[in-house]
Amino acid sequence: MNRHPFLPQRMKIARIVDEVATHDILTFELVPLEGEIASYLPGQFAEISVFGVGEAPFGYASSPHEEGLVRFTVKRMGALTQELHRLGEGAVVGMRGPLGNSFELDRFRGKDLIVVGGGYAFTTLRSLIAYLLTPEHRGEAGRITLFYGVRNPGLFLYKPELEQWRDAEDFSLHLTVDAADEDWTGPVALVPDLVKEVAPETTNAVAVVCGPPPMIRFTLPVLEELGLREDDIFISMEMKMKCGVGMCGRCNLGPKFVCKDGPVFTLKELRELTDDF
Amino acid sequence: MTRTNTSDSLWILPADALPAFLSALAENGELWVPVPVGEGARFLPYREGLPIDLTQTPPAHPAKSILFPHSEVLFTYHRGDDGIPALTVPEFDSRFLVAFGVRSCDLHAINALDAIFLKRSVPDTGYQQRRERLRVIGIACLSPAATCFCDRMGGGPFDTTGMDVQIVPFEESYLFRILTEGGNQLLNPYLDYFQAADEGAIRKIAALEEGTSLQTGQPVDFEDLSQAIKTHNDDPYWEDLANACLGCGICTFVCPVCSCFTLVDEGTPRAGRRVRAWDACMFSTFTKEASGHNPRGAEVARVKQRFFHKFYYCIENEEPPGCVGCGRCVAQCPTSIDIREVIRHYQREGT
Amino acid sequence: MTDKVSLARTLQEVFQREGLDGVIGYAAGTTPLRPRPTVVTKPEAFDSLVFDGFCVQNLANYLHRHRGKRMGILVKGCDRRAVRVLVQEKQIAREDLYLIGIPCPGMLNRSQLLEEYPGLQGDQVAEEGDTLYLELSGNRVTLSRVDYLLPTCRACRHRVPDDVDLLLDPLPFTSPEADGSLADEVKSIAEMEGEERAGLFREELSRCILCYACRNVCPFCYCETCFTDSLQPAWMTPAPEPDNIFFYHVNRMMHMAGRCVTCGSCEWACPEHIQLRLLYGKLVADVEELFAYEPGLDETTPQPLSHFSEHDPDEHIG
Repeated sequence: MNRHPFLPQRMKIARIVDEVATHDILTFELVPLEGEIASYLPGQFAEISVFGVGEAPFGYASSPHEEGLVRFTVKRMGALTQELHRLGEGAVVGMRGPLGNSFELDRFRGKDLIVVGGGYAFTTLRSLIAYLLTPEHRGEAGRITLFYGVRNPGLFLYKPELEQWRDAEDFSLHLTVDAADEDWTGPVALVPDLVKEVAPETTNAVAVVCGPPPMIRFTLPVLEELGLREDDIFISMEMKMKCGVGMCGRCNLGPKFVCKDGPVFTLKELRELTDDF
Repeated sequence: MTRTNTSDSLWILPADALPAFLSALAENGELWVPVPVGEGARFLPYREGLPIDLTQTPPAHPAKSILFPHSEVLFTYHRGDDGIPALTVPEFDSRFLVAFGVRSCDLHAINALDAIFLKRSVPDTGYQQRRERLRVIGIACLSPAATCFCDRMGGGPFDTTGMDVQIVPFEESYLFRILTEGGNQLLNPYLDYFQAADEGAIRKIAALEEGTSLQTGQPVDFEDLSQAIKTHNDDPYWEDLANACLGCGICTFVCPVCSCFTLVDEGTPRAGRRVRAWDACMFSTFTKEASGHNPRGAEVARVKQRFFHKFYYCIENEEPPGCVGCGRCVAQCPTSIDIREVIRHYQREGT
Repeated sequence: MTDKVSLARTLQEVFQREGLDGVIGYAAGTTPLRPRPTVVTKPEAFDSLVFDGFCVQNLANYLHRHRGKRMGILVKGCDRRAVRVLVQEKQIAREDLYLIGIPCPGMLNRSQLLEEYPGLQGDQVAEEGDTLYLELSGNRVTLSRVDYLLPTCRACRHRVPDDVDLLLDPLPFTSPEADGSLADEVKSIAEMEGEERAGLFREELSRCILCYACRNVCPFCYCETCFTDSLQPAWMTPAPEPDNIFFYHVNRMMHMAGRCVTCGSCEWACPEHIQLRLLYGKLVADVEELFAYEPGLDETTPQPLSHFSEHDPDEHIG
């Protein structure tokens, strides 16, 4: 008989990083208390357990090349995330994963990549970019153009890494905020407007979009105007989930399950599944 | 008395020998029987002296609870002095699991449950172990309810799909018809309680089957129905249903196919358990996120989800349809929402 | 019971004259003796409306879904009282509503009829004044309506809705006197020994499947997040275990003090026929005894549990 699909692997919190000025987003670095870390790809997610409270899904923020650990970035929202934020380094949590599909890395091969992210949902994009920027995978995609917007400069995740990415080859970084502070020298613009203004080359490109629903809604037409086909736009979806394996019945978009068939869909697929795009 | 090992042998159990037979059977495995509770029967583990209701057609509560309990402990956790939680999965019974007195509708539903719990992605361990241990002593339906329509959904009152043994109730006795080798192995040790059936019994079954007519309509063409529903997403008919729907869990809880669930922790940070419990797509909280956002916040979205899932998503995903025609949801909906009417509404004329 | 044609005509006329967004009423259901609540929004659709002795369900419950719209609603005595409680609780505005009152002869016990006459179909039942006729395959059975009233309706003291915008013609029935049967039931349970009483409720509630039909049918269960679904704190889980079930029913009942109008919808909707009237009958009797208050009779008297008076009974404080 197979391993119980609902039995989590026990993971120790090795390190906690306080990401933002508001202190409500923490990155948890987890190492296994038993067994290995099951191999995963950017775009997949795991269910993280706090025993006595429950489980919630989070996209891997780490990249598979970072061996021996996984990272999840968690915003304090509901019961589970509040409990998780109370835990300290050394505490033991549960993990079930990887779950779901991943970014279709094969479809990115030889293509330029336009990555559009907003707010806290950036975590899974960090996994993708970190993966593609490693020397052994850098050849898998062409030029990478990253747009990343947050409400104010204090809310950028992974700040030290963003700084490193500035110098990466064939990589352009466009950070934007809704409202600047005195130190901010970058653009003050909504993500869709910035994408429109920068207008990255799309002749041989695919795009990946992940962020709050309004950002997604207003970015998609911009990308299409720039010439991207709906089949070349990939969106990572979020929906309430419990089981993560297509059984519990809540995360379906039409006949597809976000947990099992997603979370990454092409815009073309999403348009066939729901009226919301 | 001759003991045959053929797979279609007929045996008569006098009605008054039923309790003794069941008690003997229960000694060697887990036995579930339909028990009258309030006005409706439900499947419960057999114990001596428990009343059994083999007449309610179908029992008010489905047999799905045998394979997919209303609540189930997935694992327990216990934190030792080191603060590290130890996780323990409950031990599974290895003996056979007999579902006794189950009707054709509930057995057709098991095909749909298998698609969800065994085939859709990873197999669900709890379901799988119960499913593998399952032996079914089914029962023919001599008086289907006014809300039954299994004949349109691939079943029938005398249908034996999924049964190892089929019971046909006679006046003062039960005829047991052994249908599979598993059924033969199951009953063989207990044949002392039975009498061999004669030719008369065979004629009697034929007469009973003949006399049980359930002709509620043509078999449903699910491909057609799926297409019709898919293309009527904005039909005002859904609003009509939503205007009445209470958003309670009756229809999904009494459905032998509905299998939505939630996972919850019960206990303290120190010790407790993770439990899987039935949930319902009709509950407004089912899809409500921690942020407050709810993709199916409107009653109509939930009403559509129920019927779209049963008749469109299942078919699209090449899984069995989500309805077997047991009619329980029809009989028990307080506001008279009727899945038969939904089928009628979207069946092309003449089919 | 109410002539279908004149009901349709009257309500259609009101709908158009008053410029309503919709009228909440009952349409025929597909299962015996069970109408389906409906919202009529088109003049040509009023023919679907019915009213008979099986229109038990309190329609005030549906008003929450139509907040801000101008709605007509068919009200029996208990629906009227529920509307008043909701106005009092500022859930709906009286001026948004057009109340069409129906003097209620008391609703009929579907389970009792189906038990005595298995297979009974809706079209086999006719109501005429105080009499109930069943057409059973050529054989006409005459029954007295009063013998088939729901227990809550038997005890009802407010059958005729007051302060409505239109009161439909009183029907040709003799309004049965409210009897003390529910009060007697409640009293006999109150007089039981503690263990016996606990046993009775344990037995009744053991059938509960936590489907929440009783909550969802209730006009007063409109909380955005019910305590059953709260995660912080998580008071209970959805597992149908005795603790969860007991916690649910006792807490829901306590939230109903000074609000429950004894419409009987919860017991009527329960698929397990749990005798919820016993819990709520006791609650209503206690509120009446302690505070001399009956919910839903006037807008101005504040609900006893939402306001403090120095004359409030305080024996329990000791």
